[in-house]
Amino acid sequence: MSRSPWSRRQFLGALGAGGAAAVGAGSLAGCSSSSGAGSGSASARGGLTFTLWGGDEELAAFQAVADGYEQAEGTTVTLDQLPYPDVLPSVDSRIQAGDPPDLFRVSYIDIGRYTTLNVLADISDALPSGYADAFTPALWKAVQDPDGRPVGVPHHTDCSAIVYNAPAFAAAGVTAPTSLDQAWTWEQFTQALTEVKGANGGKYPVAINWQAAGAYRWLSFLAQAGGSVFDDDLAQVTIASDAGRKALTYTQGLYTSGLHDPTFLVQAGNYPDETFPTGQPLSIATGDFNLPSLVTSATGFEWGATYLPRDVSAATDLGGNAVVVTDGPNAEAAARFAAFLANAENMKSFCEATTVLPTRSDVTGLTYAVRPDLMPVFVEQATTIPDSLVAASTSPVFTQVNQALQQQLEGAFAGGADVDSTLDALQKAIEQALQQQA
Amino acid sequence: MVIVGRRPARHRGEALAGLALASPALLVFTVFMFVPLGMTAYYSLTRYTGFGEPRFQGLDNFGQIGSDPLFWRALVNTGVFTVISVPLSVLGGLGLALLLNRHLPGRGLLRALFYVPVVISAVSAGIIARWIFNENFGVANRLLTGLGLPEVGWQTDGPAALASVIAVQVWTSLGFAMVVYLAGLQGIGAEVYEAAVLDGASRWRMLRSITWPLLGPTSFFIVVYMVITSFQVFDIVVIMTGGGPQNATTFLVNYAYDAGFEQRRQGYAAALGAVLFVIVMALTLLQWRAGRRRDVA
Repeated sequence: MSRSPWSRRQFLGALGAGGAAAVGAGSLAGCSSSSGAGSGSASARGGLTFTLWGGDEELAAFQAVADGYEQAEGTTVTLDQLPYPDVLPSVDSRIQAGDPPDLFRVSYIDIGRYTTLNVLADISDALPSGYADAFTPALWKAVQDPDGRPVGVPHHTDCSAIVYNAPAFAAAGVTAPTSLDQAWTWEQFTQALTEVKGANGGKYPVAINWQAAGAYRWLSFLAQAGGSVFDDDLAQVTIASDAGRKALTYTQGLYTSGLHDPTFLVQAGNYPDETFPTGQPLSIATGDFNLPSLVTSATGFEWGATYLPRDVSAATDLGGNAVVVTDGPNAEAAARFAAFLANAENMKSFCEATTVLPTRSDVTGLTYAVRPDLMPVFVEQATTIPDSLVAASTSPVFTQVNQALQQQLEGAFAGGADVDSTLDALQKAIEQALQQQA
Repeated sequence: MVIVGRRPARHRGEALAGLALASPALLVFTVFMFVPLGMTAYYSLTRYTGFGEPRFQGLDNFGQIGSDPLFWRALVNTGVFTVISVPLSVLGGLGLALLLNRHLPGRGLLRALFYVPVVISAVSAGIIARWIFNENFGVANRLLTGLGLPEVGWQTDGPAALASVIAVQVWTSLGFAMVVYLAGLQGIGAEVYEAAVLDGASRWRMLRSITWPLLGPTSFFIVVYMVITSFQVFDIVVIMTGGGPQNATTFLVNYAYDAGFEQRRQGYAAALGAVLFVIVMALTLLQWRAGRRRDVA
């Protein structure tokens, strides 16, 4: 907020002349003209604003792309960094106020909230011919509006796998699988965790990252059991199924059998990767994007990575983010930057620096900056993200799905709520969300 | 006659000058408080996602609130939180103020130390508390076991989690009550206590019959302020517990925020805000009336 351009003399003069109304109008006019001039001049300079969140590595990587774009095109891109929980409320407020950022970063699980609102710009014209063909089809679909027009770019993806305390697992004589086809079955996973707990003084052997907004990660277990949230048309809710029952029974059992750290329920203020470096829990499900922070925090012991357990199939969650362009005066310039951001070269350097996975099939041979020995686990695990989960995660009602999961899984895990009644409640809540959306 | 005739004119001039000088503040209140309040009241009668046009639906949101178990849970949690945290903060702050109003070695340092939690951010306080109350390795349970007491499920047991949030709220607000009470105590003349001593009053009698009544306006301010802030508790909870376990620490503002910004039910969230406003306003008026009766008596 810039200061009012009024001098004290002018202010007092206005007081005497016009009283409250004059002061009010004048102050507001002063405010709006100064801020308006600011944004106007930014547009005149061709500058773009990009609202995002990010860790140190991510921000540095984004800044590098922005610098490269300025050198190549002469357009300044200003990164407007916010804490993750503040990004979408801020973007929403700015869109409502008619002053949106030119671009913003959005996770795939939130993108459906925007693609149906007519607040994003069609960026087709800024994309070179054949640009879309390089992307994973399901993720390219995620950045399209209901009419099939692209409104942004799928910038990267990530997924969860298991990171474990190597000495603790070795103490139990447990060897973690080293290839996807050898991933533990649920029964083998339970057996391994039981042995790890027994060999480490009863320390909790696992915590899954389904806290808070991550409740949807439970859907990996649903998919492993062969289930899904919706049918193929996203028209019917199918969560209350035999697969749902099996998945919920198994995951609830992780708590009741004392294997899952009970301090990491669904409603929690933090994620397991915060305490893993202290030596508890002994393994966590976490995303590859957390490897840089774990490298700096989990320095007291060796740690490795292996795959999520599997049941009738292997599956993991859809993580990662897109960058979308808002429908504003700079949409055209912003669209060109989005295309630049997700070209093969920039995507490769971003993924290498931040240990996330590319969404383009032509980005190969990555040399990751952090724990390159573990990244193949995540790369291979990412091949198990089911299409049904991608479709569900990017649907406009996924926020409500996630909300229902937060409430109902908490009841099942913390309060021991009955499996069938939990699934029924989930089914009804999601059906209600679908009806309201319609 | 001349004097009588001039006084109303002078008063009118003073009134106009007062209005003119107050107008910037009035403008700020209008733009940032009265207009948003009015818009919130309007949105509470609509179905609104924050995008497009709100759809008027009368009192439907309030009807839904009445049958929403999570609202009642949040209301009870907020009520319990207020009923416990406000008296603890007020009495604790008074106790500290009485203690630190004396000549003690290191008095300035102690005052500063007790005030530090007020000036650190709630997010920082929440993160610190999250580690202190961690069940697996936090200091709180280590202290308890060191004293031969059983460990407490700060993160897994609802009442214990609520107690941990209350403890942090009291910790962060004690210093404020202390400073305001210190100011109040220094406004009480020493001659009043001298007279009481000459009359043979005990320390307890002086506290009960002199200090406490003369601190009445101060207590009124602190209680009103703390009731309002306790109804607005938000950030500490988000950081410490995420509202869990099983909604045991879900408070009204957290619930309204979640409805408005996570679920984009901004009409419903506005209705929750309106209910919260009415509750806080009613509590403030009750306290104000009680305070006025006491002053008259």
